[in-house]
Amino acid sequence: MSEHDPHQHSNSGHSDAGHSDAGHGHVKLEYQPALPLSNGKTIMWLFLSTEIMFFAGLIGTYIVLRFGAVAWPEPHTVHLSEPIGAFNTFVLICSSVTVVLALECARANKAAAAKGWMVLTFVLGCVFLGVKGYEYNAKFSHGIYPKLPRSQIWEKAGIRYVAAVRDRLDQVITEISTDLTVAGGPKTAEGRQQLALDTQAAEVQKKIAKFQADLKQPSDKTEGETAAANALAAENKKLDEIKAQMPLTIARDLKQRVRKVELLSAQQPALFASKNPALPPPGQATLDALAEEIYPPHHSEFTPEGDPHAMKPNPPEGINDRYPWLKLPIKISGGNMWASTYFLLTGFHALHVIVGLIVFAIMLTLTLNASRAGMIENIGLYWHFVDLVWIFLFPLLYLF
Amino acid sequence: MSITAEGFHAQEAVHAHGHAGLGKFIGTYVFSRDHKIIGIQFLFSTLLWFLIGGLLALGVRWQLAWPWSNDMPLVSKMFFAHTGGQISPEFYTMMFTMHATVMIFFVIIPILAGAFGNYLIPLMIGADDMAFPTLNMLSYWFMWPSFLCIIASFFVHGGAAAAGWTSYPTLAALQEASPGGHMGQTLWLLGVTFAGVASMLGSVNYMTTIIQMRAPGMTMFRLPLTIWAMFITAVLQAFALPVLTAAGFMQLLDRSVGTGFFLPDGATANNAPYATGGGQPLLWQHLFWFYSHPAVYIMILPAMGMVSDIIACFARKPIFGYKPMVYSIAGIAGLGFVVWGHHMFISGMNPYLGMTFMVATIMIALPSAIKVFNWLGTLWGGKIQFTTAMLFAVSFVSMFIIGGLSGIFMAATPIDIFIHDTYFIVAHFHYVLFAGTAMGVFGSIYFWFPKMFGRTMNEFWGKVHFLLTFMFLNGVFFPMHILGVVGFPRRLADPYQYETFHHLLGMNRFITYCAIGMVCSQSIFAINFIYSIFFGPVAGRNPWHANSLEWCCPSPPGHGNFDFQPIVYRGPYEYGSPEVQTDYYPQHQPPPEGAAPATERYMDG
Amino acid sequence: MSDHGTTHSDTLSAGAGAHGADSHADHAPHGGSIRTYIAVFIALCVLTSGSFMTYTELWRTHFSSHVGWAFMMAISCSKAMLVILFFMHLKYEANWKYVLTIPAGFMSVFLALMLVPDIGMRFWHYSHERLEFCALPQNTSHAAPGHAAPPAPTTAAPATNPAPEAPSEHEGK
Repeated sequence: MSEHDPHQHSNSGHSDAGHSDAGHGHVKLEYQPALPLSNGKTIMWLFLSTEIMFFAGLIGTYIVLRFGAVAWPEPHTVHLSEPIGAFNTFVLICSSVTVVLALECARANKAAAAKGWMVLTFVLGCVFLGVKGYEYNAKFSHGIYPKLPRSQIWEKAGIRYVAAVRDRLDQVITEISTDLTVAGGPKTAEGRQQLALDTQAAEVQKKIAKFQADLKQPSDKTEGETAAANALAAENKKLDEIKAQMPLTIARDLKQRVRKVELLSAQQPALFASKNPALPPPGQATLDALAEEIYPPHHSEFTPEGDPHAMKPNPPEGINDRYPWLKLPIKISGGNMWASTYFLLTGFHALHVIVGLIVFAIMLTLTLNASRAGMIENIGLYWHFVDLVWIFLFPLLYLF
Repeated sequence: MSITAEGFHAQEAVHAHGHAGLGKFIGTYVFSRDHKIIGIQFLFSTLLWFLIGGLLALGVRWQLAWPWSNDMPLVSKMFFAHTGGQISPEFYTMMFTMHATVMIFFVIIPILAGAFGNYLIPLMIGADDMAFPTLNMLSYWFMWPSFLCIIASFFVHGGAAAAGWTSYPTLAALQEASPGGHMGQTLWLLGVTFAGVASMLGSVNYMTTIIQMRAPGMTMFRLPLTIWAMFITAVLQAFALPVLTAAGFMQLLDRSVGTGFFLPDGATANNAPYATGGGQPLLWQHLFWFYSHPAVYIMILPAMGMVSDIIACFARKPIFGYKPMVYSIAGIAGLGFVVWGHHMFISGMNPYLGMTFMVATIMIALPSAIKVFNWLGTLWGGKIQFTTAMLFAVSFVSMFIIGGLSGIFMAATPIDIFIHDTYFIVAHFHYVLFAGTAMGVFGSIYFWFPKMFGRTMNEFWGKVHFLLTFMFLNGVFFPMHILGVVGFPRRLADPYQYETFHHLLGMNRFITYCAIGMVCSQSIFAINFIYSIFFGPVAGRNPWHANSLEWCCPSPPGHGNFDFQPIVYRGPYEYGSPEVQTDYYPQHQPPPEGAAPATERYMDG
Repeated sequence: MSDHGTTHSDTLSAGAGAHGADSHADHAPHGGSIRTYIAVFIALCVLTSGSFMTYTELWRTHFSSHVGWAFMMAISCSKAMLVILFFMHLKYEANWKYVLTIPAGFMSVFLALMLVPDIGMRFWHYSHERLEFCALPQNTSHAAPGHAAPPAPTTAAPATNPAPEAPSEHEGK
């Protein structure tokens, strides 16, 4: 944003202070009166109208894809939280107010107050981003990404879905068994933890051996002996602690997991339908039930249609909630499209917030007196526009 | 634009204080913030790309004239030694894709808006530079990532993009769908996005400059038509480009992180895994053409403006109907926004929508016709001087008529259904873009060359260049109409696999001979251009006796452009005014003592 | 970066000698007082909680979601107008504001509208094969109310209608 360049005003300040054109080879030109705006404000407004078109493309895409989709997940199914979204709206509105107050203070030449409001704006922008990161994490931790490469989303519970579930189970079993046999080093986090504890224990044991050797050395200083003995006792205690940690992990836990997976397989013969020719191919109802057992659709707290008696409690937590390490494929109809549009819209909005924050950070290094008011006004316009986009995104993404 | 403030604003003219030696050279000629240097940088870059694009076109023509020949120059020996010299169909697809991409994004748009826009806008409105010189410099340097992406794409696995310059999904969005669909397509998208950002930075800057930095007296209706065209082009870019940028990002995400904006459920290609889409391929077409149809006008309006100036100057007459010309540019631009669907008549678009777009499209014939009539009206009864620039300008008008008329054919849905994706379309847009815009650009180069480099190009060789180009281009593009009506398909490596088209081989060979001739005759231009930069006859300030402001400053203008304060007293087309003895009456020349206030006669036209 | 971008912002400064305040006579009423801003802020908060109200049980049990959507869009537009008029000072600007904002607003709405027949209404015309591949609503009983019921194969209870899982899919994996 050229109009935020910190040098801009120092240039003109320089020339205001009697900078002469002599010797520069050309005349200082005068211009036809045009819009009663600074060039900076003109280009900022023009830039904002291009931004309007940019977000019109994105939001228009979202609207037609969402209402043109056969299925669209409910907010809670994809871990959207309306109160958090509303809170973020509030944060952005506050930051809009603070930036406008910073402008008023700068116009009144109250540099310190202007800086204060600007800092507050910056902080609010950071809060917005922080909340956004927290929200993203809620999605990512449940495997809700656009399709590749880590997404667990499946559009429907079909044969391919079951195959994917089975593949994932096979993968889990292989991971666990390789960890148990420790061929080529542990692959899971638990296995690595086990290894770390082992190494730690070995180190402590080495230390103990050294202290014991020290104690055996003939020494005329009893103080040294007692110190070594104390250290030995401490290390022994540490070793005991490590040993105490060890049994509650891991080998046993891994074995438990294998049993859980086996149990799961027994409960869900559909998973083995095509592997076991004796079983008939699962019907759609079975598949749906399976998908729902893995990842039950989370309803809104209130049923949408009329009668409060029809309100259903959310189903018990699914297999994925009980065993998060399983990371089984989940069925969210329209989930991929939801993730695509949600991350696209919020992502580009967040990028604009980041750009705004960078400019704010640059401006915080300046003295925000009346000569910077034009600059503050321009970045303020940009910031209000970012707020404006969120004003539309919030209901569209969270409440529709 | 309403003018509400009183008095003139003095603008600060701040110089780049140069440093000695290499630093100074880089500051002055490489990372220059001077609009003239940036304009010339754009000009040279785009002319180089013009050469590359032309060679790619020759490759396409070679395959159509001698299908699967063993001796395509350069290409056969370098890339296809293992097949005995025969190119692959994928290579053919890549060639026409990159020909279009290079010509549109790296030649026509940047040479009009980047080169001429940059060079002419401040000079013609009486400003010392753009409103934001650094931003202007960035708009050139943002082209470079784009250049590099496209160059790199030729060398990555699978080769450059091969999904057509329109980059339609699912062909373009699925990695496995085409050989260039791997990295090449991704780089293509990045390149186009960067070029878009560069254009957008330029366009907001141009608008600000034109609105805010006109010389005293230069009201909006005293602007040369070149500036009007540049202004409205900038508006088009500012409103249309962001949508393409958005769509480009979406396709990039479709390709890289697996979103599904343009991929329907179950889409697959070449045994690739099924896409978990949920999106719509038609969505891309809508978003793409929302930009790319206005882009068609971005590619011709500035040429129209420059041609208007050239014609008025060499007809020694005021332009006929100045205000209708301005309104028709605005009308074309406005209508240009609501007609994009006519590229999609056979895409399975909703027929009611197609009807709407058809009507809107045919309406564009009205402002276009107004422009053509006004050019003819300007020529009518003028004391025409057939300089090289004038020859190119007049050929622009006549070729634009042909291209415009064939455009009306395909605006009608029933006819378009028949000629869609045939060589009729190819003929149409080459008549508009090559025979139209490129001829206008050649004329503008001959016209403004003295201002840019202080020397004049050789007129004799210029006319030879014109004559050869004009003949060959009609030899290349006119037979394509006939091919198209027969049904000869575009974008097919070997249409002769269908017996129906066997008899068209001869005509295709004729076209290819003409195309080779056309490319070769450009060497005359290249030599003339380079020779004249150094050895051409020195031109004065105003070699053509033209009126607009750029001709009152030195050739080439120094830093800051004007060595005096220009004040504008009249419009730019006062040729043959009775108020003065000369047949031209520059905008900045004060009226003689006691003369009545200037009547702006051309406004009544 | 701008050499020229400073003309008017300079005049806002105390020491802008060269440019008289008289050339900016119409630029002077630049925006409202602090009180206006506070009032706008409160209005924005109230409106936000208004649209958040559609999330509550009370609203959901009384109105259909279509009403909610219209209501929320109305609120969003009012909020946008407040921000544009007061925070972005457009209320106090000269007539150029119309030149700049109306075409952009018009074009963006036009773009979205033109997408509706082709994309927004696309699945109304889905073929049977197409439906086999597309995602279906989670369950008819859970489907969000706003979704028009998709064509035949999905409205039937999935348990009794294995059609979407065509036999050909067995070779899929």
